[in-house]
Amino acid sequence: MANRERQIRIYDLHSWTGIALGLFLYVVCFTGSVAMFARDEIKSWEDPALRLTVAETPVAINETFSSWVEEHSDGYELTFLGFNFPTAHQPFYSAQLNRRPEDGGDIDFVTGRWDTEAGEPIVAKGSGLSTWLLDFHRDLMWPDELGGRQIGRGLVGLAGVVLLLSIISGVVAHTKIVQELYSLRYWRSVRLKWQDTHKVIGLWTLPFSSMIAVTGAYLGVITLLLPIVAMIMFKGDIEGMIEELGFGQADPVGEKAQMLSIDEIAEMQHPDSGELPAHVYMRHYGDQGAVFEVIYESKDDLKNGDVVTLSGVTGEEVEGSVINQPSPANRTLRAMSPLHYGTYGAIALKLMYFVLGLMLSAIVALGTMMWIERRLHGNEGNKSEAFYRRLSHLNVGVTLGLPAATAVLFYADKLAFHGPGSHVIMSGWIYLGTVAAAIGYAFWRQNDYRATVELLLGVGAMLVVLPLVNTVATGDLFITKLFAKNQDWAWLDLAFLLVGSAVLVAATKLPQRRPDAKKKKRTAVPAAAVPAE
Amino acid sequence: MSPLLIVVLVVVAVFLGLATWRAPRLTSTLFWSLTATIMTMVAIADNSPGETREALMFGVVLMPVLWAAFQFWCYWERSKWRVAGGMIAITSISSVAFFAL
Repeated sequence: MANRERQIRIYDLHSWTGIALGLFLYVVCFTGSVAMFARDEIKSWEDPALRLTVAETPVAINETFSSWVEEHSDGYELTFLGFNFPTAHQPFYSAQLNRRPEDGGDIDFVTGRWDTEAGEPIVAKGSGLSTWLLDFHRDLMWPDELGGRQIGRGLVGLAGVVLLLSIISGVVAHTKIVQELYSLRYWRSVRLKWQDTHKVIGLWTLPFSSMIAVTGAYLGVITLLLPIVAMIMFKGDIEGMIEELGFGQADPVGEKAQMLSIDEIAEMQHPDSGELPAHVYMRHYGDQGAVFEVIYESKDDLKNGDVVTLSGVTGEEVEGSVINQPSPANRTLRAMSPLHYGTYGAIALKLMYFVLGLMLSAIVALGTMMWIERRLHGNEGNKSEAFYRRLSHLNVGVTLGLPAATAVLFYADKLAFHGPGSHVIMSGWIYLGTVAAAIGYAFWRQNDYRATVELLLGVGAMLVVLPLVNTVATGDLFITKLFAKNQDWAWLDLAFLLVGSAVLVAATKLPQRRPDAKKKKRTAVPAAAVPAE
Repeated sequence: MSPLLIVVLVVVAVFLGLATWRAPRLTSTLFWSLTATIMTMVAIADNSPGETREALMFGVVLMPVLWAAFQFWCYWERSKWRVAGGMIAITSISSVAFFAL
């Protein structure tokens, strides 16, 4: 009896966590599946000006870069300066500087891009589509008025903790795990079908889900909890805390000096891997005490990259920051981000992450659907039927509204967003507006089965037509560029076509109303009195 | 300490006391598990051998897992009072270990 009570308690924890935060979890999981491609593939699709190839012998860029820094730092204090060498995904030179006016004021940032043939500036399109898709997953684009991005990042991290709790309680709540691994009663009732799918996908993807939950929770929650822990440990001594944690920086010397050439750095092979540098982060640029952190990609290793720290004046290796030293803790921390974003392998790994991420989203959505189904057509729950119906409409609207919003954003990018100004705010309005419209549609339709089919047909149709829109807007036909170098966008167009077709086929196979429509008479009993399945 | 801060602290303490009395499992899951997690990490990082920074960094990685584990225990344990008592005890013992040792 006691074990049975415990089983019911754990099951309640699992289902209530899911229903209370399921939609939020779904938002984080789905946006994460898309966000993986934002930095490279979607960026290349977004901006035709970046569809370049790397020159066989890239042009010297130091002079152009130095003048660019000088031009944009006059009257400002630089808070960040980074330079990126061309890669297969970003076949151009690029740099970013963050600056604060010397007379005070807010920090702004400037980005520069130059082609590798002649070092000419590339007039790139303003950020919009890719920035929104990436940052909405990372920090929900949380507004400054409500505490800023750090709060948003912490909330996304909380989703990781909730996911972890759901995984633990889900595994413990189901006592016949081995049996459930192979049990998919697809031709039985709606509830059994959803329940089996939820369990089978959930159990088979358990290692991936657990890893995503732990790494995601760490990447997000650290922004909220580390300051609290550190403040307690260092009893409010923030300077001491920064020093102890290795985030301290030496002050500039105050004497101007000639900087080490970027073109020289470009030739510096990593002493162990032989790789060429990918990025350089520069502190105190132009000062005698300048320090350059040269980052080398580490392609097959589970870490963000190898860092070599140089004097920005002489090019001699100097002692790097504590956070870059090869200690067990640093090694663990630096594995978190590649593990979460799947950047430690090639495109096949990203695709695997994408499929598994969508499966995780499906598990979350199915869990909510089952919870509502048991109350609408079963004996659980003590609220009115209208309440559960509204919840069901909301679930359908959000679940299908996000894919629809993502597709609409791609259209907006090609049809409405032009020019170098930022399109991020407009992207946000379009994205959230589409989700709201999908929710409204689900409420208006009153039939969630039909709304699901129709919204899926809409998403599928939009995806299938996207390559055509891209061709009309840019003049580039994806089939002709599939096997050309540095043309990620072409593969994205192919993916739209394939995924869109699959969605259309799936939509036509789905029922337009509840299959066993013979509704049971509902008898309201408290949820706690119903035993766990 | 300013009188306003004392009033705020008293209100928070009363609210937490009432919440724990009315719903010990839920309050422990939402609040006491977090305080237990934070103070456990602080105590471990402060008292573990080796560099504090290393211990703190490992602690930060383990924090979400420990937090979820504490939350899970809040529903695993049969007695709801043992849940609240356990979480408050972990918080208190960790605080003593950090401040007194």
